[in-house]
Amino acid sequence: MKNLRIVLIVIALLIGVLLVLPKPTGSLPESPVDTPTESSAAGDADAGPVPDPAPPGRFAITNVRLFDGTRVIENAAVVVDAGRVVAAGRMMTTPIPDGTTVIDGSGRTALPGLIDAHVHSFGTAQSDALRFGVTTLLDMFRAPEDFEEQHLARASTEPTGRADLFSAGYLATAEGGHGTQYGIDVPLPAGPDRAQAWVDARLAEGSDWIKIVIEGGRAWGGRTPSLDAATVSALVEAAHRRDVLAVAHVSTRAEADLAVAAGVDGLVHLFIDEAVDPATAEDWAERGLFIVPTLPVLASALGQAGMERLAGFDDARARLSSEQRRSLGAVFPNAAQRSAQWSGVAASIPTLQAAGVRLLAGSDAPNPGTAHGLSLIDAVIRLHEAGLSPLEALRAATSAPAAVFPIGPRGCLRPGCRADLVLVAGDPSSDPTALLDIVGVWKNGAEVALGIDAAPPSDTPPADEPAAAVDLLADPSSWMASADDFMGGASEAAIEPMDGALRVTGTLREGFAFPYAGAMWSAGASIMQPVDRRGWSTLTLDVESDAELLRVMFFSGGNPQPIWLDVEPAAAIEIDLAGLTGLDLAAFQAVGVFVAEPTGAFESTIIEARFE
Amino acid sequence: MTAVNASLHLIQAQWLNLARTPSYTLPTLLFPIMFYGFFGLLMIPGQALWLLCTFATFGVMGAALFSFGVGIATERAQGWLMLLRASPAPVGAVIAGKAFGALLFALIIAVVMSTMAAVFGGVRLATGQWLALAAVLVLGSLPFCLMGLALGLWLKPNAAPAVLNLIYLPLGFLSGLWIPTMQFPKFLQGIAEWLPPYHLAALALDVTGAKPADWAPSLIHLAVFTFAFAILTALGWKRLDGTRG
Repeated sequence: MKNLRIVLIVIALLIGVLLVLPKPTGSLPESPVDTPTESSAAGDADAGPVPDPAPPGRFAITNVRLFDGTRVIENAAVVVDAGRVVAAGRMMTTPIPDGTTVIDGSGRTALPGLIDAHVHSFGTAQSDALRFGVTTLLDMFRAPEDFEEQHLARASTEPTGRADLFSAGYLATAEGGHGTQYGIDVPLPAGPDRAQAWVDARLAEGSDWIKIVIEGGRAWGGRTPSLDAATVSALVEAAHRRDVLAVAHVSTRAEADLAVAAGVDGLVHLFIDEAVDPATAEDWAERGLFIVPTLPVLASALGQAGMERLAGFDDARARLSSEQRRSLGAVFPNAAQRSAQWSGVAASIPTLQAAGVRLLAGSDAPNPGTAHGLSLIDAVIRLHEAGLSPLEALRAATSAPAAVFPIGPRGCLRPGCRADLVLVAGDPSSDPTALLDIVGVWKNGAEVALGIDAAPPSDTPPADEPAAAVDLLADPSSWMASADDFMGGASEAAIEPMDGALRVTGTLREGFAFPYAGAMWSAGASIMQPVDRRGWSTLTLDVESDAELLRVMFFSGGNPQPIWLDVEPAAAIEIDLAGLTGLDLAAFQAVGVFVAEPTGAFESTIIEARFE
Repeated sequence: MTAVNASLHLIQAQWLNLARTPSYTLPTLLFPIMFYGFFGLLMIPGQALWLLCTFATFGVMGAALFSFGVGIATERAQGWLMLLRASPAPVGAVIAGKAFGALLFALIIAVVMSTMAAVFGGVRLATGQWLALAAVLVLGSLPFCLMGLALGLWLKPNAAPAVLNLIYLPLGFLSGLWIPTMQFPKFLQGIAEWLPPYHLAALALDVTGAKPADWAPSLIHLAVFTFAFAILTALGWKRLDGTRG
C-alpha cells in the first residue's frame, strides 16, 4: 500500500498549499486583541440561559452588500456592539445574536466610515463631514489648542456627532511662506539645526505626524518663500527619528522631487505642472511613497465648479450646512485660466496606480470649491474617473489610509474595527457615485442625524444689526489700506480720506500669485468681524483710476479666500450680490477695491461706495 | 477481506495507470491551467478572482469528462470492461478508482490555479474560502465524472475524444466559464441557466464572495443533471450485455 500512502501525502500537501495561500491584509491583526472583553462579554450573554433584551448599541445590518475595506462580500451581514464591529461576513456564516436590532440592507451597500486624508478642520467640519459618511478626518494643518480633547474623543467608542480627528498640527513652512496667510501664528522651523526642536515641539503639542510645505508659488504664477532642501531633509529626519510620518505639500514636479529626495513618506497633493511619467512612478512605488492627490481641490484650482457633483442628488444637497455651501460655492482666483492643466493631473493617476504607488483619497476641504464630507466622495469618484477601478477608489478612502496613517482599526468592517459605518443605496463597488446616495451613517455604532436641522448650529452670528443701506465712505475709519505685501507679495498701498471720498495710492508689483493693492472696508466694528447683512442686494461704486482693471473682493463666512469680481474703473459700477456664488451675506466681513492691472504706480479715487 | 483487498488493488491500478501515462495526465492538467494563465491573468487583468472560479470549474469539468469518457470508451473497445465483468473483480472498484483519480486531478487543478491567482492575480481570500473553493470544485466534479462515464459507455472509442470536445468546449463557453454570462446577449444568458457547469461555477463564485448565489436552485440543477446521467449510465451498462463492446 506504498502507493496509497504517497497519494495521501500528495493530497495533504495540496491542502497544505491552500492553507498558506495569502489572506486579505488590513490594518487589523487577525484576532482583535484590543477588544477581547467586549466580544467575550457579548458571547457569554448569548450563551446564557436568560436571553439578553436588545442591548442599546447592538444592531445588525443584514442581506447587505458588504465592502469590508478591501473587498466586497455579497449577501452579507455586519453585527455591531458597544461601538465595535463584532461580526461581519456572509449571511450564511455570520450568526446574529438573539435580541439584536436588525436593519434590512437589501439592495444596499454597507461600507466602513470613510477617511478623508487631507482636510483642514475647524468650525463645524467634524459634524459636516459625518453627515456625508466621512467618519475620520486626517487634518493637514490647524492650530493644536484642542488636541487633548480631540485625542480623548477619538479614543472613546461612546456615541458622538463628530468625526474623529487626527492632525499634523502646525505645518513647517518658511517665513511668509504658504500656510502663513491664514491668520494662524505658525511657529517656523528656521533652519536645519532647529528641525529636531521644531518636530519635538509639534509632537509635544499632540501632532500625529509632521507636514512640511514645499511651495515656491510657481505652479500658481507667483513667488512664495519656501523651505530650503537642507531644512526639509532635517525635518524629515527629525520626524523619522521620533517614528512619525513626514508628509509634504507640493505643487510642482520640482518640489515633489525635492520632497522625495528628502525622504518624505507621502505627498499630500499631486503637482499640477506636468504629468507623472512611468519611470518616476515606479521609482516612487519602490520607495513606498504614498500620494494624496486631492483631486477635488485641484479640480477647483483648475477651474471646475464644486457644485456640479451634486446634480441629481437633492438629498445630499439638503444636508449641506451654510459653511459647506459657502466653501463649495467659492472659487479660486484665475482658476479658469489654468483649466488646461487638468488633463495632466488626471493622466498621472493611472500611471501612479499601475506602478503601485499608494493613492489615498483626500479633498483639502474647506478650500474654495470643496466642502467637508461631500468632497471626499468627490475625491473617490474622481479617482475612479481617472482610471482606478471602483474597488480601488473605495480602498483609497478606507483601508489604504488606515494602512498608512497611525489611526488604528478604522476604514474596515471586520471584527474589532470601530463601528463607523455608511449605508448607501445602490452599489458603489460598481459605480462610486452611489456614495452620494447615503441611507444611514453610524459613528461608534450610533446613528448620525443626517438632516442639517439636527446638526449643531453654525458659527454664524445672529442678526444683531439692521441691514439697511449704508454709505461706505461716511466713516473713513472703517477703511484700511491693503495690498499683497501682507501675503508675501511686493505691492503696497496707502489711503487718504478726502472730503467724502477716498484717495488710494500705491504700487502694484509682481511677486504674489495674484498681485493686488488698494483699500478695504470692514463691515463690523473690528477688522474682518462677521456681521449679518442679508438685507443687501447691490454694491454701487464710482471709482476714478489711472489703472486699467479693478478687482472687487468680498470676504464672508470666515473664508480666507475672497469672492471676487474684475471691473473697469467707471462712474456707475453696480454689482449684484445675489450673482456672487459663495458670498455669505449672513456672515459678511469686508469688501476691498483693488487695482489688479497694470503693474506700476497707480492713483485711484473712490467717489462713491454704497451697499443697498 | 479479499474483496476489499482486490478493490484497493484495482483502485491502485488506476493510479498507476495515471502515473504511468504522463502523455495523458500532463495535458489534462496543463490545458485548463494554461487557459487560465492566458485569459484569466494576462488578457483580462483585474478579474483574477472571478475567472479563477470559472476557469477552475472549466478545468475540473474537463478532467472528469475526459478521464471517464475517453478512458471508458477505450477500455470498452479493448474488451477490458467485458473481461472485468466476467472476472470476480469488483467492477465498482474500477469506477471508484477512476473517480478518485478525477477528484485528485480536480484538487491539483484547484490548488495550482488558486496559487496562480494569489501570486499573479493578487487574489486574497480567507483560508476558509480557499478551502471551500477547492471543496466545491472537487465535489462538483463528481456529476461530470458520471457524465463522462455515460458518454464513455455510449460513444465509439475513436469518436469519443472528438465528440467530448464538441460537448466540452461549447458547454464551457455557454455556461459563462470563459466570459461572464452578463456579457452575453440576452438569449444566450437564458441558455446558461440550464447548463450544469454554470451552476457549479455559481457555487464557486459564491464561496469566494465574487458573486452571491442561492444554493438551492444550483444544487437542484446539479442533482437533476446527475440523476439524468445516472440513468444514461445504467442504460449504457445494460447495453454492454447486448453488444460485443
